[in-house]
Amino acid sequence: MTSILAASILGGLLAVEHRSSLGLMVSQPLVGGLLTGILLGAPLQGFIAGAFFQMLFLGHVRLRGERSPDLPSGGVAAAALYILVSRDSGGVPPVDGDILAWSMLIAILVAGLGMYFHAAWCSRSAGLADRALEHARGGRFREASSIHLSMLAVHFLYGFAVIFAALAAGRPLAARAAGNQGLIDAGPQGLILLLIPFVGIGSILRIHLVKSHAFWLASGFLLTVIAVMIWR
Amino acid sequence: MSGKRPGIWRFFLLQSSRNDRTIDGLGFFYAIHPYLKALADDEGQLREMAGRHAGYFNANPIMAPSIAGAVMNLETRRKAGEDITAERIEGAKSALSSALTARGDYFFDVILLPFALTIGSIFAIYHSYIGPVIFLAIYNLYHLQSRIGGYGAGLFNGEDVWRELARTLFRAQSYLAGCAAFASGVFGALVFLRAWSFGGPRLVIWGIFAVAGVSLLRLKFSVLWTVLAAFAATALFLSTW
Repeated sequence: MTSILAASILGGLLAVEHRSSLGLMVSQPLVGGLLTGILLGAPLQGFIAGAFFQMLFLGHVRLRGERSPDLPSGGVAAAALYILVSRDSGGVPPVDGDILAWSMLIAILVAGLGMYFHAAWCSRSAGLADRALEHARGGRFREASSIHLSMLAVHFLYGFAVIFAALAAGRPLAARAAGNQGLIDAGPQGLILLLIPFVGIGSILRIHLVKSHAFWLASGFLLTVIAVMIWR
Repeated sequence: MSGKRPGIWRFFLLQSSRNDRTIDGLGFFYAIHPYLKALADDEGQLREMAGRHAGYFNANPIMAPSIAGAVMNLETRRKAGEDITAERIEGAKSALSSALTARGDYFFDVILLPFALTIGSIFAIYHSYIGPVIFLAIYNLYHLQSRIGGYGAGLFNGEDVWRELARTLFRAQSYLAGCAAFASGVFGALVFLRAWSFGGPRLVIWGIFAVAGVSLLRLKFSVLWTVLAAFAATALFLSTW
């Protein structure tokens, strides 16, 4: 329970970092996974889960006005589930493919849930913001500031609650599913880690398959292949 | 014109109250309130300025300090007796928001963030902790420079702040775009080479199909559905291994 609470608090804090536009990017799963791992005493496992979850969304660009998956909570969920379920089942470190696959699947759903929650919240909170702006125009600046800052609590509570629920419900679910052969068989250990980055390459190509970038993209690819061949 | 920054940290909380109607209007007012307070002679003047600035605001949050600085430049000159109307200030705010947001979104969200994440991912596939460190360093070098220095640049240059940003920050855009594409090429090559050395041609052929499939799916579907479909396909492929 202490581990779930600790991960949930981290989830809340990273949600604040992400939604308040603090913008330091520590909430990105690449970093958030490592932080979760450090907090739960398994930095390598947390880092692997967070980083490979990030790679699934590598080429994702947040477009203005478009709903965007809640990657910070997804990253914490992936890392915490992977660590806790591995610990429960005595999973073989550093990579147990089945557990990692189920943790990532639940994390993708958490990221999707966050996307819909924030869309609904942006719509519902407009009335509250209007009231705060009325206060500001009327010279009641303290009230306006209080409303603005109180919304940070909403982001924290959402981040906390979604990680708590995902870990409380997802931990036994992922443990059972990972032990049930045939649902997802992640093959030999570590194989899933070879496949996930392909998803990231597919989405990042959307950005770079343009005339002005193509030369550099091809150069990076070819020079690396040549360098590795020579190195070997 | 004072360059004092009584509440620069407030710009880091700009989007806390983001909503569908006034977007970041409340956040923008919260951020510039200390500057307005420092400028106003009395409560009435502060309320008049608050009445003009407590409304709609929609801009890239990293560009917001530059816009606020430009607005404060105009407010200061208006107070000093220059012929600057409230409409001109509102117009400048709106024009700068549009122009800087278009450039800022492209620079930070399309070029810099994927670039920094790609570099981080290159190290992450080898399980190296240096990946997150390099990612944070690359991104925040430009991010913090724009956030913290932006207000001063706006205050000094006024409506011409976009010229200053074009001369400094956005000058790095084409160079960084090339670096981002190059890093993506390196990342792609390493992923394919690793797949080849561990799983042979079968894994590489699957990788080619995965890359093509994701690229095509993204033309039609959202990132979430694409990732779910790719993940399901990966699980299916693994079960046949």
